[in-house]
Amino acid sequence: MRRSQIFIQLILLATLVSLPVSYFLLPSLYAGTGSTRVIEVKMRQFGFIPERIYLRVGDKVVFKVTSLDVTHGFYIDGFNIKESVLPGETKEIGPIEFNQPGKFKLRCATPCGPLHPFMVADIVVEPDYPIYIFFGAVAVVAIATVAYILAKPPRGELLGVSLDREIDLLEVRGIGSLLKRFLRWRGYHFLVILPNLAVFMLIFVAGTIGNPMGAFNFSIAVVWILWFALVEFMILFGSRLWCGVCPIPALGEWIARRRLVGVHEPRKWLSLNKKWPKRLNNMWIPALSFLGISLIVPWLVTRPAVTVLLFLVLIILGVVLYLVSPPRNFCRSICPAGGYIGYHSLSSILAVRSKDPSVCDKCVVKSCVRGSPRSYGCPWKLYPGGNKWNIYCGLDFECLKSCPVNNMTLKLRMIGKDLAQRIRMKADEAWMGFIRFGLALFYEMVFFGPYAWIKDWGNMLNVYGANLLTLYLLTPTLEGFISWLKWAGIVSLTCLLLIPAVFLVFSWLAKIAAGARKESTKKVFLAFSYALSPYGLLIWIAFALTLLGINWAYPIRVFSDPLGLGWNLLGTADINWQPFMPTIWPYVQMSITLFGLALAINITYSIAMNLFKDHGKAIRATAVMSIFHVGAALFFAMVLMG
Amino acid sequence: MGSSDLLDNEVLKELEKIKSYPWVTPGIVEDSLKSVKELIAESIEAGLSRGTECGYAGTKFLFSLLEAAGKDSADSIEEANEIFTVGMRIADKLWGFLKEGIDPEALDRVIPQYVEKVWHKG
Repeated sequence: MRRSQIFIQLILLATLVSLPVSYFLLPSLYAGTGSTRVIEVKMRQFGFIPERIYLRVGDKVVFKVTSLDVTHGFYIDGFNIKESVLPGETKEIGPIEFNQPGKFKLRCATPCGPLHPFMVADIVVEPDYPIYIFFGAVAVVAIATVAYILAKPPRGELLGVSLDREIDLLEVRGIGSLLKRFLRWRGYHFLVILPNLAVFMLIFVAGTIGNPMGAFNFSIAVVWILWFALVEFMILFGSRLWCGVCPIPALGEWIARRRLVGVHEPRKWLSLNKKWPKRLNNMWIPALSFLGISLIVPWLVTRPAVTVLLFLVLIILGVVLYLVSPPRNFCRSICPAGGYIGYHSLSSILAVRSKDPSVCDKCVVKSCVRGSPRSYGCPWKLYPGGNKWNIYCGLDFECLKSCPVNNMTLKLRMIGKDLAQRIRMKADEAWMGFIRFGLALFYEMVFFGPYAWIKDWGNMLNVYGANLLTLYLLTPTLEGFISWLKWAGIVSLTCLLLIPAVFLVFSWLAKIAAGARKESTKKVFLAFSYALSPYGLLIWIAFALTLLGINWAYPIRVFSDPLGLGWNLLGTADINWQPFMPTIWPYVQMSITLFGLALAINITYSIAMNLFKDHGKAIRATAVMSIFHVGAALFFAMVLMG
Repeated sequence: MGSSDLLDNEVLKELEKIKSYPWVTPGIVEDSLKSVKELIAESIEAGLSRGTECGYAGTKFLFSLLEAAGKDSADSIEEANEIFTVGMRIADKLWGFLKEGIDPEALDRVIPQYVEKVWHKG
């Protein structure tokens, strides 16, 4: 192994490990030398007054807590305190001694309304050394990664890992042959979709007649805490695996094929077979609809009625479009989740590829495209044998079934491999990247930040939960609607204009720094934007981890009581809400973000090498783009610990 | 038209090409040809496209042979290509016959004669 490889891998490992370790070391450095203070805290749906409380290490604090509206619960991460505060009541809680520097979350511990899980405030215990540790870690990772690429790593290498290193999963001794048989079995899809379909039906029932409070409703707790978090991991480790098992297009597919499992011959689809418009063959609709959904996300993830309505629209669209223009045009070019899953799958470690591309070049059978008695042609309209990108590969595994010489397989590779090897430049995908990247930073700030005003805006000042039968409760007031317009404006402008504009400026500067004035700025801008694919995915994973770590009890409870009607089917309905190791999550989140930063810088360098074909130029361009990536990491550090 | 009148030289030439593969036996060729003929007849009835469906019939021929021979895959891509192409061309011929109004049952009777002629001509 080359020295530069060892260097970057050691630095990365040390930084990523030292962050969580510092969490345990910091308290031992401080003794309780602060003063005793009394702090008044007011709680209201869905925030605290004040939003941020500043203390010194060693301070002993008595909180005088008043609830201004409904019953709230007073809970501080890392302290064994959970007190209910009744409406109008003032309660003294403490004294509590703060011996550890850093930021702690003050949370509402009693379900108080739809946005209850996001009702938080910050307690900053100064000196806030963790923020300096976070900043230092960002600097160390950025400098180490730039130092690594300065040493001119080989083209086929990412963070010291050779891109040629791949594992053919279907050849792994023991599980390989089992996996191959399973994936080539025609019943595979039906088997995995069926339980998902049952879950979907439960979501509809719960969303229609279940408890209007999201935290107690299956449709919210399972979809927006459990599924949402798992899908982010699934993208990293399994590419579009979710798309392959998603029940939304399944009904349309089964009807159009007139088969649940087998291949239908003659291949006359029960469909109008209309040609899909070429201009829709991109990611603009998924990107913009994902952003559109994000504008109503404070309602979507807290009100069962809104979730059910969204799913209804998606299912109807999925089925109708399949019956009008098969096969998976809805999944490719309409579905908002399919869009972002596909975009980040560009960085996934899992891929369906040909074992030997030259065999596919020589093949005239092309049963992976035209279908065979064993399989349908690729439902995603790809030529699998020549496919080099994951973005539109839906992991339906039809090509694994149809290849006459078993040349298709499932590979594990280095994260971001495809992006490091060749240039891709598509504006729709670039904007999907900006939207996802912007929303990750935005959501972290809005949902886990203390700023109640922006939550109020996004929430249209509405305090009611609603199932489908009580949908009228969500009628916004004029004031609420105007507030929402402000929220929608901020989110849209940030994702559609501000972040792309800043990125464009950096791309232009990078081009100038590289001395490549003749190169098109648009080309450089679009090509470099793909570094946000792995970076954004890892930031979303960091966000999802925290969401799950803090709110894990809700999904577990609703499995016992899916409708929120007081059942206890599995004996888990009475589990108390208690965040799992809440104070360590910022450190874990930061470690994941730093890995994303290192990847973003290294992939930027690979893209620059592919663009400029010159190490010096690539280094200079990467150095400029790294400022953008470092800025994003610093912003994230600020949100987490500042 | 008698069934022997349907013996087409081009079809015979196509079948000669796959005779050299040891695992391709006359019995499984006969079954595969019959399944291709049925597919073509159903495709014509369903109003499907000749080009697309004959291509598909090529894969049907190939995979039927593989399945009947108990093979998971062809031995090489060249072998797969050749069998597929033979299947596709024969399907196209059968499509022509059926379009001309030849009775499908007459084709069923002629298929064994093709196999007999290619494999047992001595």
